Amino acid sequence: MRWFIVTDRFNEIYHLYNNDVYRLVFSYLLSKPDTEDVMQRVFIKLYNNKKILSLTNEQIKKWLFKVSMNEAKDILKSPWRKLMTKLTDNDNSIVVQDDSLISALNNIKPIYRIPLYLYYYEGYSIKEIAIQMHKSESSIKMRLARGKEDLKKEMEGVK
Amino acid sequence: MKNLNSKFTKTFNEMHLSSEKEDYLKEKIISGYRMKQKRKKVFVSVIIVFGILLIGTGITSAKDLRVNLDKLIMKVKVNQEGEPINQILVRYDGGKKINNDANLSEPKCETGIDSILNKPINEECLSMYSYDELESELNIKLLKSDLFKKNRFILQDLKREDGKITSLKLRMENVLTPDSVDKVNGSWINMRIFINTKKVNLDDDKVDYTVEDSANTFIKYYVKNLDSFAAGDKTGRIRIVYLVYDDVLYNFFILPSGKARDNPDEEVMRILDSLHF
Repeated sequence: MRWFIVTDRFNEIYHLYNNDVYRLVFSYLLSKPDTEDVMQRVFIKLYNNKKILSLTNEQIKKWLFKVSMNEAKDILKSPWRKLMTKLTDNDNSIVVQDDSLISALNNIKPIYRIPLYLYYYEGYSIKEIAIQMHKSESSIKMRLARGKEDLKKEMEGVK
Repeated sequence: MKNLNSKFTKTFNEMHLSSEKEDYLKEKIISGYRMKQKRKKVFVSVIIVFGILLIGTGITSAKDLRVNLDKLIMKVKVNQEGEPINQILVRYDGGKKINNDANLSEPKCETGIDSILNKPINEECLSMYSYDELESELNIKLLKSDLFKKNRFILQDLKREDGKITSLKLRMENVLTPDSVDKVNGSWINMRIFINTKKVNLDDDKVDYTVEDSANTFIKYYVKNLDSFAAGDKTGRIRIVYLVYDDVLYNFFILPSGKARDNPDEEVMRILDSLHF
């Protein structure tokens, strides 16, 4: 692909999916600065990858989600983040009118968050989530069931 | 199910990037891409076996680090299956005595950081202070390096209780490049300083960071000038180094460039050895 075509295509994809990537990553990390860091990394990878840019929009979205999940997991493992989270108050949360869901997500295991987000917000089927996350369908089913249960308990607690 | 569906939809529909933030992130992405391309053109990467170089730099692997260092502790434990696992405890128990009434401005609003030029995107949000200003206001000494071409820190976070400062977080980005030069000269090094005035009781069994079977992942650096140890975590050629000195936590993100690409740990030592009050 020629340079200007790559740039145009990148701009198109960025404007189409930046909010989707943002929401997915935020649902896992629940921190604005970390989410923005991951977004940068993911879109730099996209900018670097001309082959991906030549795929269909839907295929690119799947690729973006896959890379976002991996990058978000790496951020969560970072020792500096862990240390800072422990030593300082976590005041990075996003402001929404009703933050009960965010608070509840914050109190459940991180491994449940992405399946829940993909299932309830993006409307993915269990099979699609399993493919996206490289897991078996039964494992996704289990995560969804346990995640939903924990989430409900947390939200009832919030009320 | 319906309830959760609508809850997710309502909450996440409210989340979106402002057009200003969208443009800012795009600019950062494109500048990050250009930098990567430039590095590819300029440098030919040569891989040298670490073992040989480690002898010269006096670096030992985590396997040898079965001793408790002063504050940064690395040790080998055994997991539930009885297999040895290496653990790094990046520990900082605070207790730094400072002038708690220092006249420093708290962050006023949220903004991104231009990590090339070392300044807040919205300069009205975060204040910047030089070493001299910080040292005289806080009445402390901070480690500095003659290699650094920058002198001003961004005060990223400051907490007070009853008007008295209890903690602050400072960062200085791209320290080897002079102010107002819009690129990265040499290695990309970011420095962060965290000061906690309260003494924190650290639980011995609490591990901040654990990686299994990673003899080469953690590195101990001995800083002769400071007669102190620093601990490093390595990912590829990136080094994230922690040093607690005089009750202050220092953190360096080091992405070696040029000749240093071949031996990132020499680059780490070059920086650590240059630190002084």
